[in-house]
Amino acid sequence: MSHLLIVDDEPEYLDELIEALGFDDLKAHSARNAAQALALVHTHPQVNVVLTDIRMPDLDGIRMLNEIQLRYPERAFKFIVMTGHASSEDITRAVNAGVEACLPKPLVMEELQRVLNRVLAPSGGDGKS
Amino acid sequence: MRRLLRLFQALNLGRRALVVLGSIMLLASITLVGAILLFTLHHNAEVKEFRELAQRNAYLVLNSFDQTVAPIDAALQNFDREFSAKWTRQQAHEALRGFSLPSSIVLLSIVDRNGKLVATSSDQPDYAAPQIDLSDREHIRVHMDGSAGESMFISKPVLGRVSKQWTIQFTRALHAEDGSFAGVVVASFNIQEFLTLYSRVRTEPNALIALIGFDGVVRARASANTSFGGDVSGSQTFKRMLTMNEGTYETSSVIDGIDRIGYFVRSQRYPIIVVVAFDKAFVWAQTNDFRKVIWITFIGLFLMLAAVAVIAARYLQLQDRMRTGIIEASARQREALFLQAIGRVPGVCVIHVTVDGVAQVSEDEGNVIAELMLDFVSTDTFRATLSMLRRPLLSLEHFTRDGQEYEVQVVIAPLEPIRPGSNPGATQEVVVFALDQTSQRIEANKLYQMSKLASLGEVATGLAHEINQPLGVIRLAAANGLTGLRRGLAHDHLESKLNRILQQTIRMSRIIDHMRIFGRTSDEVFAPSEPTESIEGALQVVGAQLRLQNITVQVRGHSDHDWVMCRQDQLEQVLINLLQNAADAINEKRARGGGEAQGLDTIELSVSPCRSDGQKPMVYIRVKDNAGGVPDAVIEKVFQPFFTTKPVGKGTGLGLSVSFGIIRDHGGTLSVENDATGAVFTIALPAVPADMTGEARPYRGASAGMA
Repeated sequence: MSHLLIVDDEPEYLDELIEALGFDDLKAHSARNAAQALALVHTHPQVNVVLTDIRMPDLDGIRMLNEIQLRYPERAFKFIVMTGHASSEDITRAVNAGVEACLPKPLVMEELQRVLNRVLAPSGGDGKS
Repeated sequence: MRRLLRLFQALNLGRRALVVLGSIMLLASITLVGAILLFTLHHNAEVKEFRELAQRNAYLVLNSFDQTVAPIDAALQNFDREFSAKWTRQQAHEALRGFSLPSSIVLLSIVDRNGKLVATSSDQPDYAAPQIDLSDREHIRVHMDGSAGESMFISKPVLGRVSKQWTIQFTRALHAEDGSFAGVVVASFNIQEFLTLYSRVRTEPNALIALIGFDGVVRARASANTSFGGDVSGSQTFKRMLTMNEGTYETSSVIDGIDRIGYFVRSQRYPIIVVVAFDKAFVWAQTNDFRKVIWITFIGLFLMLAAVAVIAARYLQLQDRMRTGIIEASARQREALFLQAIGRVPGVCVIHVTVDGVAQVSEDEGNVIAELMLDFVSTDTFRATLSMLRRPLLSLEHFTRDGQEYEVQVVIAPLEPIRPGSNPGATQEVVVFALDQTSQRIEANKLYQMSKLASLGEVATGLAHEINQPLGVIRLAAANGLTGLRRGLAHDHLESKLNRILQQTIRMSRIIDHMRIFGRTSDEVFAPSEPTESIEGALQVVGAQLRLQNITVQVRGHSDHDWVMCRQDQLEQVLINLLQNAADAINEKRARGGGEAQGLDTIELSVSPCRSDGQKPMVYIRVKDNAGGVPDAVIEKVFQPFFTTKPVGKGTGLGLSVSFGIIRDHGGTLSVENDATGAVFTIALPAVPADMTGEARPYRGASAGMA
């Protein structure tokens, strides 16, 4: 069973997102910044899917992903990023970091569901898209 | 100042009077000195002439004396040779009678070696009577004691015991055959001979001719009166005469007290000094006429010169006045040309206002500004201003005509009278310069709008993100609410969702509130506001953008008691601009120095009121970055329009210049300096007390109600 971690610096947004996913019977951990996220990844070894915002006050989302990969090379993570900026620069960086998907904000829930379904499916565990 | 000027003018006049007085004095003294010089020269010449005359006369008198005495001397010597000591008195008498002598000799006598009279040339002596003893007489004694030697002695005037007349005795020693002293022969000379002669040759009543013996006794003296026997041996002049052969005589006589000038000569043969002198008063009188002539000439000359001086002064004054007139005219001419030249500049109007009326200097007819200004100078307010005017007055006037607004800068300059003497302030003559600033103001507004648009471009991305966030929350909350409704969740669930949505819309409207400044022209009114409110407003707009760039903004300080009078949207615009510039500088630094140093890049915003004695209280708002500061080479230029250090396409270069203009319009200043870590932009605005600001604040009112 894959475990999902959602990182966003906007608590209300995080709140609603968790609730929306809960309606679809999807449980997720949440972190409000990169530091919290890194701590959570460390204490919950079963976390292997990370959905993160790019712009955050303490650490850039993509850098955080790189950091996670660097710290836990034995764990096969799958990353999804979301950005309200959608600048081409950010998208390129995200693709280079090897993310599964790059979603624009505001999120279209159906799109998120589709991506999550693909990523969380046990068959899709090898990370092929 | 004016009083000082007046004093100077008074002094000027005084100086002119002094100059006139001085030149008259000079003229007077020149002519006076000339006259005195001339007179002195003449007097000296006169004195010299008289002295020479005296000298000549003295020689003549001495000569005549010598010629008178020499034959007597020779005769007495002859008599000595004929004399025999063995003569009886009768023989002696006969010898005397037979001896021929000049008529001036009234008596010839012989005295024996004992001083007893032997015989005279007069009547037969009474041989029975005792011989008259003359040994006490000086002229006998000098021979008896040998002090007279072998020369002839000339005695003081004596009353002859024999002749009974005043005579001078010429005496010689008589010798016996063996050559021994045997007696004295005495020739009694009638003084009257000399006196008559001298009286006759004198030229003026007080002229003096005198014979003085070496003993200081006057032998004969002719002046106003004739006299003899006076003793002058005590006088200094006489003592001087004894030391010299001849010389100038200038003294007051010890005998008659008359001051004389003349000459003295000492006889080489006899112990006699001749003095010839003239009364000084007489000499003086000789120059009298000449002196009168000189004085008359002097007075005439002086009057003439004075007249010339007066005429010259009048002429100079006239010339001065004419020159001043010419200068004044040409100055006025130049002034007029100058004003005309200025008046030809488009948008400029020059009006010359005098007590007599108004004259427009600039020519262009149909100029709206000119019409407005002509109306302006005929208003009572303007007239009232004039009476108070002492120095150029600068003001900004607003006019409305045909629905069009005009902004005109007006300078009212009082004209100083050209002639300094005239009373300042009496003639209220002014020049009014008017400069149409309407188009300039319009341009400035356009520039302001442009800069706002430029800022808009820069904040757009940040704003998109900022609006995206609540939008995302709203969408999710709505979807979740809907799902909950479908699944029959409790009523509370939906309510919480709707509340959240409401919260988020308030957040959005607050952002949009601050964006209004980009689409709106500025408020016309200044209102008091708390400076921190403007800072908050600015951060609402650019805060998100800065956060996206990982730049921390720290706000420090407060100014509870000091607010500022401002158009808050404009102040926010300036702060936004400064914050954006700071962020740009930080980004540039990052591009140069490589990478972001997390959490280190900070923009510091600080508010500090400043109250110092004697100065207007101010509020300072500082925006400080840590991007290393503005390069020294450009720090002077940053407030110039279109100056930018940003890459092409990134900045318009209008931001700082417009900000500068806005702050200046607020009566404040915007300045920049570098500190250790970066640039510090300082907005200084006049402070108003916070308790004075009870009235409604038009701009913040609406949004404050919603929050």
